[in-house]
Amino acid sequence: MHSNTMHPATSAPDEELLDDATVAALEADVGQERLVPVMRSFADELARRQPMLQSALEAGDVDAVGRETHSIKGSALTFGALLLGAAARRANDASRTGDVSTALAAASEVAELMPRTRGVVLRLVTRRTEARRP
Amino acid sequence: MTHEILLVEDSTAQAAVYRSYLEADGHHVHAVDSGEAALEYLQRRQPAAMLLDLQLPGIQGLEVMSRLREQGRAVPVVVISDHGSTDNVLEAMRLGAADFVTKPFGRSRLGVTVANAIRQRELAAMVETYRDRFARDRFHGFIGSSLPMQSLYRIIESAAPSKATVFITGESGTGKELCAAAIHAASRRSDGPFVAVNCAALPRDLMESEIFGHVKGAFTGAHRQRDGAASLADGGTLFLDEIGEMDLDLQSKLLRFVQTGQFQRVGSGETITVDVRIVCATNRDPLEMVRQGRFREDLYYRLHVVPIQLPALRERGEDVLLIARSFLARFSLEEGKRFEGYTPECEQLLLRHPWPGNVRELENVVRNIVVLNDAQQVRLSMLPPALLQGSAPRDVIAADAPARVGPPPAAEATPAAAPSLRPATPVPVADTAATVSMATREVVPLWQVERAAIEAAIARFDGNIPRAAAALEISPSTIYRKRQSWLEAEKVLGESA
Repeated sequence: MHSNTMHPATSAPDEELLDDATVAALEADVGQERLVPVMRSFADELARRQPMLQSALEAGDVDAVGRETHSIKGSALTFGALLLGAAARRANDASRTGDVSTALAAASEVAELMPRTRGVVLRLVTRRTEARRP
Repeated sequence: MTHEILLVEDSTAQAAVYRSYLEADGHHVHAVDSGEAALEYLQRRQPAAMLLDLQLPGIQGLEVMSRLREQGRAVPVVVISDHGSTDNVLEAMRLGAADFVTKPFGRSRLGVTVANAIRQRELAAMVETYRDRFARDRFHGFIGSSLPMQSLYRIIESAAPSKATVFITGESGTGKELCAAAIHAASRRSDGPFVAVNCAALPRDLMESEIFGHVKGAFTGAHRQRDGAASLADGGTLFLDEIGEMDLDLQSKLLRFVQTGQFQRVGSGETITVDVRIVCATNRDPLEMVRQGRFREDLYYRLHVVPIQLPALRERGEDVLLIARSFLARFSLEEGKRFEGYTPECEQLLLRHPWPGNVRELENVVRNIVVLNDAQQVRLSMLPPALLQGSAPRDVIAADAPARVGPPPAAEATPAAAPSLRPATPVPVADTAATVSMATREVVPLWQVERAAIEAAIARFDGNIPRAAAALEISPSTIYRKRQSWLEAEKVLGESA
C-alpha cells in the first residue's frame, strides 16, 4: 500500500471528493427526482467494485486492475468524483501501456479513495432524501 | 418521437444515468450489461438504435459490432468511449458505428447523437425504399429500368387503385395491351376479369355486339344470346384497344356506357348495369382525331381522365439490351439453343437501331436470330441484314464481315439453319422469314416478311386466326390490326394508282 504523501489526492478533504458543479449538471440532466437513485447506484457500484479492485491489487494482476479502474473511471467522472476519476484514469492508462508500478500505485490510490468517495455520496443522498421529506 | 433503444453498459450506475437521459427524451430503453445479452436481445428485437460501451465483460463491444456486421444487421450504433481508446473508436466506426460519445457526457450530447444515428438509419432506409421503387427493371410484364419506364411504373401504380378511365397512347409495339393488363393487375380488381377488345379487328356492325353482346335473333346469324365484353368484364377491367377506329355511332353508345355503366344488348330493350373499369388505347393522336371529327369530343374527355403515353423503345436507352437479353434467354430455352448473350458489337448495334416497330420489332429480330442460329453469343453476322445496314457504322460491319459469308467457328456457333449467313439464292418470302439476298444486297422490307409469315400461318390453320396467332406467339388482335393496316395501305395504293 502506498502512503498518502506520495498521492496528494488521497489527502484531499472529503469536501473535494465530489464536484458540486458536475452534480448540479447531472441533476439538471436527469431531474431532481432521479438524482438520488442514480447517486445511490453509484455508491452501490463503488461498494461492489471495491473488493474486486482490492483482489486485483493483492494479486498484482495489472490486466484486472486495468479493467476495474476503467469502469471506476467512467462512473467517477460521470458522477463528479473527479479525484477518484483522475486516479482511476492514471491507473487505467498505465495498465494499458504496461507501466506496472504506476498502474499499481495509482490503483492503490483509487482503492483508498473509493470508500471515502462512497461515504460522501451517501451523505449527499441522505441530505437530499431528508430535504424532500414533507 | 419514441424509439426503442438498446443500452449495453456493464456499469449499473452509468446505465442508470444514460437511461435517465434517454427516457427524458421520450425513448423506451432496454438495458443489458454484457455483449452476450445484447446479441441475444438483438436476435429477438430490432431497436431503433444501440448505445454500446466498448469495454464489456465477456464479449467486447467491438466483437458485438463485428457479429452484427456478419449478420447484416442494420442497427445504428452509438459507441460509448473514453479518453485513451481512440483506436477502438476508429475500429468501431470502421465496423459501421454511426457515431460515438466520450465519457463523461451530458443528456443533450447523447440526445443529439442518438437522434442523428436514428435519423441517419431512417434516411438510409428511405433511400433503399426509393431505390427499390424507382429502379425497378421489371414491372407487371414490362422489362426496363430507364427513366421513362420508372415514370410509367409510378403512373400505373398511382392510377391502378382508382376507377378512373385510363387512356393509353403510344406507337405500335410499345406495349399498350401490356400496360392495360398491368393497370388491371395492380388494381383492386385484379381478381376480376380483364377483357380486351380490339376495336379495329371486326366490322363495325359486329363491334357493337362484340362489346355489348346481343340477344337471339338480333341479326342474321344471332342464333343465341351472347354476352359482350362489357358483361364479361363486370367486376374487372375492359380494355378497348385501337379505340380511334371505333365507328362514330358506336362511340355515342360507348359514351353512355362510360357515363352510366349501363348498356343494352343488341336487339334488346333491357338495360344492364355493370361495374367495369375502362382502359382504352390508340396509336394515333386522339386529339387530332377529335379535330378531324373522327372521334367524339365528349367521349374523348370522358375517356381521357388519366392519360398514359408509352415511350418508344428508342427513347428507353439501355432497356433495349435488357429486353433483348430477356427475349434471347426465353427463345433459346424454347428453341433448345445455347445462346447466353450478345457480343459487345451486337449490343452497340442494338442500342443504335431506331426500332420503329418498338418492342415487337425487337422480339421478331431476336426470335429470327435464335431460330436461324445456334451459338453461345449472338454475333453481328447473325443479325438480320436490315438491322446491320440500317444501324451499324460501316467500320463495325466491316470488322465482322468475314463471319457473314461463311459458317461461324464450330466452337462458337452451329449453323443450324442460317440461309441469311451465306451468299445464297433468295428464299421465297412465303417459305421462311430469312428473306435476304446477300449476293445482291437487296433487302425485303420487314413488314413483307412479317406479312408473309402471318398469312402463311393463317392459311396453315384454315383461316383460324386465334390458332394462327397462338402458333406465331402473338395476340389475335395483332393479326387483326396488321391485316387492317395492310388493307388500308393497299387501298391507298389503289387510289393513288
